[in-house]
Amino acid sequence: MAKRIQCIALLIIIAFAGCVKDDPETTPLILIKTGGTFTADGSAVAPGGALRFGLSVSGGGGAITNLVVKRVSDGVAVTEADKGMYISYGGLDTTVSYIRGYGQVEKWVFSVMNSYRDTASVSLTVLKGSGSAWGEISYHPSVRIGLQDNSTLPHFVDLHAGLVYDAAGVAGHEAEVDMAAFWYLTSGTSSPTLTCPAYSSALTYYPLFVSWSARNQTMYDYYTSDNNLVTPAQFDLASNDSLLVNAYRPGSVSGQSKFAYTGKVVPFRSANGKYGLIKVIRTDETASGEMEIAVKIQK
Amino acid sequence: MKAKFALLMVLPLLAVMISSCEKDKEDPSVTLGAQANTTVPGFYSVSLDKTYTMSQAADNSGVVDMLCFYEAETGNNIALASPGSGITGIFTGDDMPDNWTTKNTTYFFMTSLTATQFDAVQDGDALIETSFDSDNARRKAKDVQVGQVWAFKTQDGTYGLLLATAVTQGTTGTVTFKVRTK
Repeated sequence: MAKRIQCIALLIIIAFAGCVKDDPETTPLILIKTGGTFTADGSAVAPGGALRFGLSVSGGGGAITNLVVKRVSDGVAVTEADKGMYISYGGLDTTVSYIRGYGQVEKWVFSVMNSYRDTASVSLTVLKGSGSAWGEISYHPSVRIGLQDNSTLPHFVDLHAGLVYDAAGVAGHEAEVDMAAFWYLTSGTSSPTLTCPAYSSALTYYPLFVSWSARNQTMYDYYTSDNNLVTPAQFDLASNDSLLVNAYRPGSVSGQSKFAYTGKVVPFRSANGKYGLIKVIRTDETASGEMEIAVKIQK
Repeated sequence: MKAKFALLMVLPLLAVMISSCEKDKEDPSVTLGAQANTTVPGFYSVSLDKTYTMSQAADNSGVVDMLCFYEAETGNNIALASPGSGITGIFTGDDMPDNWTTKNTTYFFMTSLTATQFDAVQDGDALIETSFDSDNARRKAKDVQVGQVWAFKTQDGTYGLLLATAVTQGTTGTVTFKVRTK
């Protein structure tokens, strides 16, 4: 009887072992589009010039789960984007835009991963062109907003136009809102904080964001702000987008920026890819207080 | 008795194994014959993924997107084209594409994709469309070689990629390819 049981058990194991499905043998495919408006491999672009990369990605039998963009400037790598996703059908066809930095040689590396954790990468090189191509900026010297419990000042900022909206007037303009601010105590420390509609914890202070169909994700460079790497005087002198682009460190960004005290300068990148700087002219440190900022942003 | 018991145990297990083991997905190929090939049909409908002889194709001209022909003198060798490509002097008889009332045109562009890259592409991927360069597309895929990946666009706007996996030259020759469409 025992032998029969052993025999049956063995057969069951064999049956299951024989049905184990292998992972697909293919890996993802990522291609850099060429022609027309796209930056070509080996081309020379002056610092400040626009870079535009078209990417076509196939998952290779698995869903596309991750896209990483790295800039290697004179050998120093910076992750410009690291996007999680789940695209199981149709692949990914996207265009990403950046600004040429000061390095002699910039290598751009684009990597994808699929749901089997297989990866693929492509790269191209952009040489340094002569002169500079820094672009024009918009300057909004004074934008006043209320913190979360302030009932007299509007809360929602369009950083591009320098406009502000209150809860009643924002209807129809949700897609233009890049920023709001609130105050709270974080581990006992007072923190006037910049946030954006897409940042999940912003809902604690601005629950109406949840009903918006367009919720922009502004990325703030908290490292530069925390370490005072851009001073108010440098902010005041910026007359083109050079400082705006170069101050922004994509490796230390978040949808909110804490400790936005008076005198802080916070680099940011808007949802539509525009670089900018926010200078905190003055802020209260109460929930019902207000904040006054100046904004410089790429046109 | 023991033998019967063992048989009773083994047979259901085998049945379960055979029915439950998922078969690997096949990656079917299309083979088209050139104009004098009497055994392999030479016309193909992308939308229906179906091949036709010339007489069958003449009756279904509205869905025929590709054909195979051989022409050594011009360097076309084994080539792919479509009824609307204006191929002359190759096909003969009442059913030849010249006489069709509906002549779909498909455009071809040879990509730099490799066979391995082709295998990573899935039906419906946006990459299939972006691989097609309309500015440099032609009405023929000339001298198709094994390993080449051609992007195409049919008359009805379907984009595709085909990977040539086998080519036999001659008027009785053939071309075999795998297809991805979007």
